Amino acid sequence: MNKDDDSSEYVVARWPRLVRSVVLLGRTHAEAEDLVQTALERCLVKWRKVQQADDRDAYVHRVLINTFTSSRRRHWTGEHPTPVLPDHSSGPNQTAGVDDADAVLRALDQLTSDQRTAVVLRYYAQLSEHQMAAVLGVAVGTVKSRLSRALKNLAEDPHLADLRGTR
Amino acid sequence: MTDPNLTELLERAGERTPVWPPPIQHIVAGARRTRRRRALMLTAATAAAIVATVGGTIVLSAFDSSSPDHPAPAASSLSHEPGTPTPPVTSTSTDLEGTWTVRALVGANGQSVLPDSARGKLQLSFANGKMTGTMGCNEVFGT
Repeated sequence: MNKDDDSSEYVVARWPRLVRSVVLLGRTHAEAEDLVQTALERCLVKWRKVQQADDRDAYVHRVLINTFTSSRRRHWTGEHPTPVLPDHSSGPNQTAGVDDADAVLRALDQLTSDQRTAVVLRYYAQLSEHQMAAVLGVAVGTVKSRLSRALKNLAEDPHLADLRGTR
Repeated sequence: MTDPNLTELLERAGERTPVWPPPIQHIVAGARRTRRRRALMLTAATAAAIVATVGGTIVLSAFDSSSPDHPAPAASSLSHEPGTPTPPVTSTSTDLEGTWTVRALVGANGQSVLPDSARGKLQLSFANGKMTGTMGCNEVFGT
């Protein structure tokens, strides 16, 4: 299998999950696709390094998180110019608490960025705590404390109150 | 809240986002573009470093009055552009003055270290003890 085939297969297999991870980190769908495309381009530039990495997924997630952090540092993302004023905000609906997904996104919005990243990497990307420590460049203990605080906040979150009792 | 519970909630929230097939062609093309740009910059920097070293050696040898028969060092293969002053064959303090097109760079084993793709693309100008060069969108300079 040559390099291009290998990298293309990897991109096809991981693309949906990576895009959805960035959406759960708080970006719009379009922004998430742009970010993942940028991150995967960076990985493909040094694909041999990705292949030789002990944990390929951890390496790619590290590039993705670095790209995500850089873009957040570079751009103000609080406002989005639009030619037509929408009837409602493009983000999660703040008033209708009927949709589970909206409730989850609103609950994630209440976390700090570090806690939110930890939750998404652990419970959506399914990385282990050791992988997360490598991805985030912090100690395993820091990962555990971030997850612990995040879970505590989510357990007390009113947006998830209805969902907690039914699961 | 339990771990499986949170995973299930995140899965459902993620599933709500429709995802289309990845733009593989764009991703691969973007990666190739970046690789090419980095290779060109590396080549230009290498060429500039070698030319600066060779130029410095020539200048120093010109001031070395104690050994007038000192042989000229192995230099890069440069072609001079028409219309500009033709440098003398022997080394003097001014024999690099003018604009040059780099055809090859002699490495330690006597072979050119300049990639074929960069041959003839790098232009170097020497004037008043300063060196400037261009290679596509990249520029190099030195003294």
